[in-house]
Amino acid sequence: MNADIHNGGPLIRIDEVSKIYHHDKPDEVRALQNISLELFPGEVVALTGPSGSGKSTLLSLIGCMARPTSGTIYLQERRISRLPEAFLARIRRESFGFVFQQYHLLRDVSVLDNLMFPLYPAALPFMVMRERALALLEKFTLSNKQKTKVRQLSGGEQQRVALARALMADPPIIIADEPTAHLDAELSSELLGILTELHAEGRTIIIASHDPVVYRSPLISRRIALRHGNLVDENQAAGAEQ
Amino acid sequence: MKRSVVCLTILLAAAALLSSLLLSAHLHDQRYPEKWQDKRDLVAAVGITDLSLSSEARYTRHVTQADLFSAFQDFPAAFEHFPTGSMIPPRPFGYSGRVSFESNQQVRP
Amino acid sequence: MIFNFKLLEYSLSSLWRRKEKNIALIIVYALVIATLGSVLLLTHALKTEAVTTLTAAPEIVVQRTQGGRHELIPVTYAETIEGFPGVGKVIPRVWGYYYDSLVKANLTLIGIEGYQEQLELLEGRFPQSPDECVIGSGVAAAFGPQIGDLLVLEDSSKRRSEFRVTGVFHAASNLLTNDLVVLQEAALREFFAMPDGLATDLTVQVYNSREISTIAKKIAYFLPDSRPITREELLHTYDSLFNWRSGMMLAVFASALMAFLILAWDRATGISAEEKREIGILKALGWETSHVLGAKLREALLISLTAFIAGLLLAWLHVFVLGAPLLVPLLKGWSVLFPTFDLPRVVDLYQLTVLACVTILPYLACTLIPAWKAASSDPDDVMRG
Repeated sequence: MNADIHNGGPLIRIDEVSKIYHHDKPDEVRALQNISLELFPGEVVALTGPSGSGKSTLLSLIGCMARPTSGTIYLQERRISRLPEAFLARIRRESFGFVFQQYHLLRDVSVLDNLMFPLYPAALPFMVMRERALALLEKFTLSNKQKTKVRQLSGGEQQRVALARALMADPPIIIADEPTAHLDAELSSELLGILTELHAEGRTIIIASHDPVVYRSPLISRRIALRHGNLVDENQAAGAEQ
Repeated sequence: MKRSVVCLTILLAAAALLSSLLLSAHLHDQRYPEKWQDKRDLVAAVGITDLSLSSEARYTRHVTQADLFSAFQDFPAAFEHFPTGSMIPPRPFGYSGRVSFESNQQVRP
Repeated sequence: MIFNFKLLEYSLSSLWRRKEKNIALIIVYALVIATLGSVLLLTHALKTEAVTTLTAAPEIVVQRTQGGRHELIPVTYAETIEGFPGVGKVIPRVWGYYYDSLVKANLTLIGIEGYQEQLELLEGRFPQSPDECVIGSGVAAAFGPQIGDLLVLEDSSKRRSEFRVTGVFHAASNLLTNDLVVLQEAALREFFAMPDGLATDLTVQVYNSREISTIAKKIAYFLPDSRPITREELLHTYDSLFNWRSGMMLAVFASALMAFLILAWDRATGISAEEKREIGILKALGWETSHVLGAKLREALLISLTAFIAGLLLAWLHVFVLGAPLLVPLLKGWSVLFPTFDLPRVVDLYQLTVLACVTILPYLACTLIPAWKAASSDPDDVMRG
C-alpha cells in the first residue's frame, strides 16, 4: 500500500458535514445534515439505510468526489474538503479505490485499458502499468478477458473489473457503493471473500449497502445507519445481529 | 503505446510531405528564373497585356484593356450576359488611372 | 514525455470509440480545407503568373475613347507622344477579335511587324509574309492545323482568307497564348479592313520606369480623348483580380468558411452525455482538470491537423496536378477555348498560415470550451448528470 497509516488517531474524520444539492433553489435536496464521524485504520465499516438516506453522498464526500456544503473532512488529520481540485485529484488517485454502484467502466474500452486509464496521470512507465494490470487480472481470474470490451462481460465479471481498477494504485482505503446490487448470492459471497482478503492486507474498507448479506457479514467491524441524511445509529457489529 | 506511435508517424510523414511541397514551391522562383524569362520574352515580342483565360467576352479576355462601358453591353442597367463577367470585373475597384493636371497649355491634336 | 504519450494514447482510444462520427468529421473538415486551399493556391498561382510575366508588357498602352467607348486611335497621336522627353518608341498596334461561328470560339488576332528573333516558347517561326501566321496551341487543338497547314478565317465581307501556319506556341505558354493568332500587321489591317491612318492602340516605350506615371499624365492632358494604361495599372488589375477577397474567390471562400463555421458551431453547442460521463469517471479515478483538457486538446488537434494536412494535400493535387478542374468552370464561363493550366507551383505561406489559424484555432476552442465545464466540475456532479 502506498499510504502512510497513522497509528492511533482516526484515518478519516468527518466534522459537522452537510451536503445540500441545488442550494436555495426550488428543487433543493438536503442529502446530509451535520454528520460527524471518525473512521479508523483497518476498519471495515458498513453504511446502511434505505434509499435516499445519504449513503452514496457520504461515500462521495469521503472519496473527495464532491465537496461538503458545510463542515470539514480530515484525512490523517489533514483538512481535505477545501483543497484545490488538483490536490483532491491526487488524493483520489493515491489514497482511495472506488467501486461504484453502476461500476462506471468505459463500456467500449477493453478490460486492460479500463484498468490502465486511472494510472495514466501517475509518473509510471507504460510497461509497469501494464504489468500491474495483468497481475490484477490474474488475481481476479480475468486474464483471458484482457482484450474483451467491457460491454461483452457479465455482471459479475464487470464487478471484478471494477474492483481490479480500484486496486490499480494500491490504495489504503477501498470505498464500495452497493457492491452486491447487481450480483446473485453466490457472486455476492465471492465478492465478500475478496474484500476479506483485501482487509487482511491491511486496507480500510467502507461499504454502503442495504444488502443484509453484506452488513450482517462477519467481515464488518462497524455498522453506521443513516436516515434522511442524519446519523441514527452507530455500533460495533462484530458478532451482533440487528 | 503502439497506437500513438503509429498515429504520430503517419501524421508526421504527411506533415513532412506537405512541408516539403510548400517549401519547394516557396523556393521555386529562385531555382528556375529562366522559365520566367522565356515568358517575358514572349510577352515583349508579341505585346501581350493579359492572360488568355476567359475568351467569352472582350472585357473578360482583355481585362486590363477593357473600357468602362463594355460590360454594360446594350444599356447601363443590362444584366450580366457572361458568367465570368460576374467573376472578373473590368476594372479593379477603387483604383483609378485618371489624374487631374492643372495647366494653361493648349491641347495639341 | 511519457505522460504526453499516455494522454495521446487515451485520446486515440477515445476518437476510435466514436470512429464513424470522427471519420465523417475529418472528411468534411478536410473537404472544406481543400476548397479553401484550392482557391488560395489557384489565385496565387494565376496572380504570380500574371504579375511575373506581364512585367515585360508595354510600359504604356494608349487607347482612344469616344463617348466613353473604345475607338480606333489616329496614328498621328504617336508623333505627339514621341515628342515628350523620356519617351522612346511609340508603336501603333493592330489587334482585335475574331469569332468563328463553326467552332464558336473567340480568337484574339494580333499584328506584329518585322519580328525576326527566335523564341524558346515558339515552335517554328514568326510570319515573314502576309499569308503566314503563328497560332496558340488552343487554336491548333480547336481548329486542327499544325505547322505547314492552312488556317482559314472569314473576314467581314465573307471573303475567305488563308494563312499558312509557320509556328505554334508551346503549351507551356498557354496562359498567355492559348487563343492567339499572330499575323503580319499589314495582313491584319487588310483582314479587319482598318484604314492606314488608324490603329487599335499605341504602345509607348519609356526609358525610365519611374517616369511612366508622369508621362501617362502628360498623354492624358495633351490628348484628352486618350486613355493611357500604364503597366503598373495592368499589374495592379491582376493583383486585385485574383485576390481571394474579391469576385469569384470571395464567393467560393465565403461558402466554404460558412460550412466550416456551422461544423464548429455544432461542436461548440455541447458535448454528448456519454462524453460527459466519461469525463466524470476519469475525474473520479484521479484525473485532474488539466489532464482531461489535455486529452481533449489532443483529440481536437488530431482531428484538425489531420484534416488540415489532408485538405491541403488534396488542394495541391487538385490545383497543381489535376489543373483545378472543379474551379475551372468559374473562370471559363462560356469560353470554348480555355488553356490547360500549367500553373507555376508557388504558394503564399502567409495566406496558408492565416487559413490554418482561421480553421484550427476556432475548432480547438469549440472542442475545449464545452469540455472545460465538465472537466472542472466535481466528479460526483458530472456522474449524477
